[in-house]
Amino acid sequence: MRIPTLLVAATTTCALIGATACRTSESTPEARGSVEAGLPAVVARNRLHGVLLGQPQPKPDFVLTTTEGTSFDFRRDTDGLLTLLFFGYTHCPDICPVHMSNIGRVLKGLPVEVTRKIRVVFVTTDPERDTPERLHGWLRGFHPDFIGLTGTPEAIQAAQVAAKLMPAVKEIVDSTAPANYFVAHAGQVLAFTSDGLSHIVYPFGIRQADWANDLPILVGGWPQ
Amino acid sequence: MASVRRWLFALLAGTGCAVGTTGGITVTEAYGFAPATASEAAVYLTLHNQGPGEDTLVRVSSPEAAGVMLHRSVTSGAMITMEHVDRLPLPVGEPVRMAPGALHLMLVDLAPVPQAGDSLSIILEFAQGASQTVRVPVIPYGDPPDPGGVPEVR
Repeated sequence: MRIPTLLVAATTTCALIGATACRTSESTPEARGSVEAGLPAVVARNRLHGVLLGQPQPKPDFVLTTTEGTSFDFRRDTDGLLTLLFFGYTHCPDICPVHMSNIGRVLKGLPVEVTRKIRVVFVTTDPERDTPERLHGWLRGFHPDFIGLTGTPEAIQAAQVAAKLMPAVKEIVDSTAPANYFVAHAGQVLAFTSDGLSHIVYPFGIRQADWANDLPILVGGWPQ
Repeated sequence: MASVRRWLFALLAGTGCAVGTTGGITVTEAYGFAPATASEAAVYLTLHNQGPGEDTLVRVSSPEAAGVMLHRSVTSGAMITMEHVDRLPLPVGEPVRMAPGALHLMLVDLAPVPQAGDSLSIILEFAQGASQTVRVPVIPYGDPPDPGGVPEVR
């Protein structure tokens, strides 16, 4: 199931955050056969399909605006919850909707005891074209509980820097149609566990089966 | 099971049971994602040039979209950027596969907006002069289908 792009992305994630001890988790037959309760932490961690970070990253501190116009304090409003954070844009046909659809479809199949402890936050990297209405409608197509955030270009850039990501940049690919620009952006979904840290990320190439495996483990907190 | 499917797919692709064949070009594994908005959709095809000569995909259009562009998503560092591809060389005997996060067709300004279960027409034009129209099934956004798992166009 694990595909080469995941490995490539794992390497690049390491490069970005400057970690040298980054590794991809592996599932062992013994781990898969274990009972989840009382699992030794190392076994629980090895069951995860995301890409483990060598150095956990703190939850970024930023305040942006929801598609309903209310203020959203990322740290405060997701405190203690498993939080998935992704930066993208609604005109993206290939990467962003695949990530968001996969997460949305998996959440719809998980029990409410699990999903009520999860928040999914999508921050637009294209505030110029992603009006709150457009962003709201786009996200609702994937899951009604997804939180869409926008703000000034400066505030969105600062949020990405706080999340230790390279900020997104506008790219005009076709000079005859400058309005149809792209936005180069980070491809991975960051996961923050209840300890307020990201120990694991999900590069593009991650599949629904990976989310379905990892979210129920992560919702119980990072396996210490 | 997966290997049986792959074998079956290879057999079907080899015998021309595919979405479309024109000249030496056969199209298989065609699917599009039901767009979340009317402004963009993504379509993926696999093109097999069975010869005898080299060919190049030079133009793509659709009656259901104002424009179709061939793009490649490129992971560069941790960033994903987009490249415009003007001409897609199709070497003989080497399938060219489009896939999420890689080579894809971007359709812009769709009318009507296709839903999962619908289909789209894609017109492919090649440098050697041939053109062909393929009907592409529309599926919900998500994982790419397994080889051989693309639904039939109804």
